[in-house]
Amino acid sequence: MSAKVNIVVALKPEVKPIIGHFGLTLLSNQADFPVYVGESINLIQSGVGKESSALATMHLAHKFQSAKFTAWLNIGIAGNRSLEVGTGVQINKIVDRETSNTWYPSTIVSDLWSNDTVVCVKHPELKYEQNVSYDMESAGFYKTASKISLNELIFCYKVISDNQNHSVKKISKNIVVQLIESHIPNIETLVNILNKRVQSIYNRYRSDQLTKSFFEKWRFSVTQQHQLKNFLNQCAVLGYEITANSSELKDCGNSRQVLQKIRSKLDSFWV
Amino acid sequence: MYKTLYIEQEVRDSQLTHSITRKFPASEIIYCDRYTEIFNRKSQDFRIQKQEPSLILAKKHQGFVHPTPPGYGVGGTHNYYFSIMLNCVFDCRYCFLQGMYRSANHVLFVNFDEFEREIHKTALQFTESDQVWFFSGYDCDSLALEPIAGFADFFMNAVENHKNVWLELRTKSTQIRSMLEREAVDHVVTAFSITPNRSSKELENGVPSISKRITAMQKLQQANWKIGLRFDPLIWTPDFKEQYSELFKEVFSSLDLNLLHSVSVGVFRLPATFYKTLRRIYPEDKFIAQPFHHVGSMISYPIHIESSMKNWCLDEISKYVDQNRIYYASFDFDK
Repeated sequence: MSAKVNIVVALKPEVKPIIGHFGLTLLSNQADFPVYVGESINLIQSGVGKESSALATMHLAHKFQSAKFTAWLNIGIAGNRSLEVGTGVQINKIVDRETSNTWYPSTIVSDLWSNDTVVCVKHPELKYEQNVSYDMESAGFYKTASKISLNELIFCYKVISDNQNHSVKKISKNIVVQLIESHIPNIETLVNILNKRVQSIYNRYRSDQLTKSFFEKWRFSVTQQHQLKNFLNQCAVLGYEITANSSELKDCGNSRQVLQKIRSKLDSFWV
Repeated sequence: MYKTLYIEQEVRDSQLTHSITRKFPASEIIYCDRYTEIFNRKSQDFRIQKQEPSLILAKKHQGFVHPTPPGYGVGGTHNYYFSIMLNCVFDCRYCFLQGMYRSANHVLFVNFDEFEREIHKTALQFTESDQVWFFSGYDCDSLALEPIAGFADFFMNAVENHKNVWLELRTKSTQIRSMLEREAVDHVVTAFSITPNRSSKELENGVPSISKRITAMQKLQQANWKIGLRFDPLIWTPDFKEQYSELFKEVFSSLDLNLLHSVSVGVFRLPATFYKTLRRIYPEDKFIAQPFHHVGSMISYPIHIESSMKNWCLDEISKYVDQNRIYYASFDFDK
């Protein structure tokens, strides 16, 4: 299985360097959300604001039928009172200013980036009241992604674009492109780490493949399917070979008998 | 050790919080309202978190002291347990904590004084001739975080003046420095959990070797501290008799048996619901993949294996220690 990271980005100038670096191509442009795909990435351009970000995240999840083990990444620019423009920040706390809802994304410890709280605001922050980062999408993204996937697979990465000395009003499209472009190596590192995490989680579910031939031969209830999956996994781990065509199962007329046979094979472990 | 510290706003100014944060100057500090926002949230991956757990400093608000399940104890008339920490620094594959909590992060309740108050209150309900036991190490290792939190040191002071209070510090760690730096407290038993060398190497990640733990026990005994041995859980292997025979010989020949407070034995068992979670987290693990049997709401070894291990071990131990210091832990987690 090749895992893909789903990336949600608000603005076209933020999207552009990512598309270029990862060789993404436009797949569709439904509901005003351009979707790009590549070998290891699906990317959606959400537009500005937490509502758009939430909708785009949901749209991407539906489009690719994202499972519980899909990695999600929100990339974009953010303001911060004191951090230098161009600083890369991994978000470890998201506060929705409007609702006061708070989330705590997990973090990947690295010297490559700083960590910070982000306050998700409705309009660009001009006063930088608190010494934290400010963005406009993280709350919508995280709230939605955390309903779909595991906390350890959802990350927000922001590049500081404005601070007390460099007003948000001075930001141009070109500056945004340059800012994101300069963080492509970090984004690539994050994508690689997330891909490895997803892969390691998928490897835990190998028994899903083992059951297929059994389901073709016998009819299992939902409870029995779970039981079979567990039994076959136990057999595989303990070194007992058993397949739907194994000689010891040839006389089994129904699923109950199959499960009984496998269970008694497993019980020989204790002898 | 901890790269991220979550701190509840309510305890950010506590003395212990300051003392702990000073020990991790490079760690990222994130403030939160309640530890449950991080610890109890849905959709967490225990296994990924376990690779690099964060420390959460929190305040316990209620339920400081609980009666132990029936069958849990070492001869006391009244038995209670308390948990100043949730989760363990070690990574033992058989541990029920993996199935109990959604998160692998470590929660440390820093309001030790309120635990102390509840222990005092509980002890006062009984006469001075009663033995009221307080077990620490049910939801964590009692000594593993001692250099950071000073938990054992604090609670030994707390129980020192109570004639009827006994404290068990259950551990697999060798963090005994704070104990060696003070006079032995008569009613404190440091109880070491031990499994045979091979099982320990295979199943107890991060746990000090048996020989290191034996050295720690010897040092404590030399300083007049009471020691307990906890062969719990008993781990079955086809050659378990040889494994345990060797272990018993090594341990009992290394200790002053006159200063041994108690020995307890308990067979591996888990609530079935916890086991289900473990299977999901570690599906490729050979220990977890064993075809355990259901006994009521618990899973364990088949009854004939459980009985034979229990009886054989109790017989063997009685060759070293008199019967009145040997206990069998037969409790169910959910009672």
